[in-house]
Amino acid sequence: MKLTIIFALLSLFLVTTTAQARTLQSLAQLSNALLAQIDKPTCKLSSQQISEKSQALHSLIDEKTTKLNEGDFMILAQRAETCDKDCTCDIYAYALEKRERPIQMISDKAAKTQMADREKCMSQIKNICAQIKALK
Amino acid sequence: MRSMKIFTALALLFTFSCQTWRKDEARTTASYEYEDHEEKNLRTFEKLMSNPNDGEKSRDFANYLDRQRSFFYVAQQLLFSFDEKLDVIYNKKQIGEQLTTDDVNEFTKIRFQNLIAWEFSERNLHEMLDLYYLTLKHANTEGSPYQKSCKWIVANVKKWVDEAWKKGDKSAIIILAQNLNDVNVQFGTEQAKVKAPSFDAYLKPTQAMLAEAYKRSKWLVANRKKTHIDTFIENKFTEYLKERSNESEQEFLNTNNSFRTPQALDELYPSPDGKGHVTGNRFPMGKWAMTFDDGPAPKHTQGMVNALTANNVHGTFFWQAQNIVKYPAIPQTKSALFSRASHSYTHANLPKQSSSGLDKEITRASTDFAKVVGEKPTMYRCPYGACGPMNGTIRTLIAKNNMLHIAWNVDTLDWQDKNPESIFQRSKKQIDSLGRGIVLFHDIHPQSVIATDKVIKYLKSKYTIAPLHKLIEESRGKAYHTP
Repeated sequence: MKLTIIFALLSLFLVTTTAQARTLQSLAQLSNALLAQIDKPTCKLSSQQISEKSQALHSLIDEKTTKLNEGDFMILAQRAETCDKDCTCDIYAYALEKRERPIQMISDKAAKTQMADREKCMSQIKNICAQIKALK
Repeated sequence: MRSMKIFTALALLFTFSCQTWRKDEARTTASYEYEDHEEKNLRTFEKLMSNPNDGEKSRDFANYLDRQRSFFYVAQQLLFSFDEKLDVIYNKKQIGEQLTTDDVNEFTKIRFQNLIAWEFSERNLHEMLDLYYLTLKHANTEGSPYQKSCKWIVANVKKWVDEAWKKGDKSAIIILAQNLNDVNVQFGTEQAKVKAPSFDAYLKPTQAMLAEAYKRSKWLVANRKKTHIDTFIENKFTEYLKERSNESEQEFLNTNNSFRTPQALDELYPSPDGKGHVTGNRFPMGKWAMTFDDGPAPKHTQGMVNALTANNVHGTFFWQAQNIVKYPAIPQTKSALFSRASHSYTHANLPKQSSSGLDKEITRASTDFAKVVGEKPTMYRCPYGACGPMNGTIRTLIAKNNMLHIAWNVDTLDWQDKNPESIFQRSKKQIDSLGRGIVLFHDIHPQSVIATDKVIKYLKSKYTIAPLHKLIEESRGKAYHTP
């Protein structure tokens, strides 16, 4: 019985922390797509609209950032290896720096992200325009 | 068929009424107030709606609205011409040129014509808004004899406005939609059974929409034919000349002129409406202000100050009070190279705050700012740019604390991009497309410090960087102090 309860709690912990990090990941991908929109405006947004969406995204990311826990930090540390593949390094670096837990590899990779990388990452996400437009 | 005529006529009225021209921003007009509702307009509505003879009703309604449209149309062309000419003469004065007697005579005439045109414009606006309010009211009144017709009108208003935007006078539509939205708010559409249409797309017109509207207005002024209204105004002017001597140039360029000021002059002061809101879109062409949000953060804010010093340009910091209290060294420094302003207490999302939360983020932030800086801030920027609607609680509280709200028109997006070069390239693109305004950076990120230096150097090579409060002074025509 005790073992079942412990297992259930552990599963719950893992699910919630993963979900938290996953949410931050999807927001980071949206952030990347917004940046790419300036150069390649596939969603037909004006710079004023991009700024408005960026502000809304900023608020969501700040909310997520304040809720990051130890489990999330562990997951983010693991993502240092792969964040450049989906252009999420910028937002991970932002969140980690804001919580005063910077990871050098993520920050370095973020600083090297080019516009061409961003456009490539953006093209891999489905319904990106709808997701951007839904930001409020 | 008969009722279609009525509705078409009403659509025409919606299309051509209550426009106010301007080049790059929709001019703020007085908000619609339910209390303003005139008895005369109520009678007009009832008369037009209740005529038992359908044929006469249709004809009377259409004729009435057509007359209103004609008057309004001409009035707006005159307002546009006036604004254009006033800008020319204002700019002449700005560069120190002497005005000729012809200039003065021409403007005395145009000023008077403008006054008449403005009166037509305001009257038509309120008549049209009253009719819309009454339509909403009857659509929501069970048992009203006009309920069916009014429901149909309400359901079609948005469609008419959108069609008018495509085909007609775009400046008019922007102002019209904003005023119709005011009516919706006044009516309290939340509780209404028949929902009023949303005019959101016109509430914050994009630069492209405004440019298109200006182009259209210019074309209309150049191509319209003179009507009996022009003759009427000419005759009125002749009468006026008999009664009054010519006014001096100081009078018509008076910045406190209550009915019209040069477009180059904004009426800016702490206020919950558009008069308390600065975007930079109407700054003099070629002039830019640098702004930095979220600090102070000792290392990065110092980096920004160093960049300003090295390039000998001015910037304005919008700081969070919680950081000012924590890191008071830079905020306590008075410098000719930077101004200090408020950016809330904790960077909370204001529309999500309770009234006590708002009090902390605006009023207490201002008080604690003063404890460190030595005086209260006179400029405020909402976190995430989220200030709620014009005349709403947040903007009212900002104005009550005697602060202008400062937005921006170039967003560097530096918080979400750690590559200084791409931040610079993105900023440059926006700067060149707008030609003037306010640049937004954040003084809490290392990449922002590097990108700021690049942007400043670029701006200096092609444009002028000026203190934000000086550009506000230039816009409003009088001093605006900031710590």
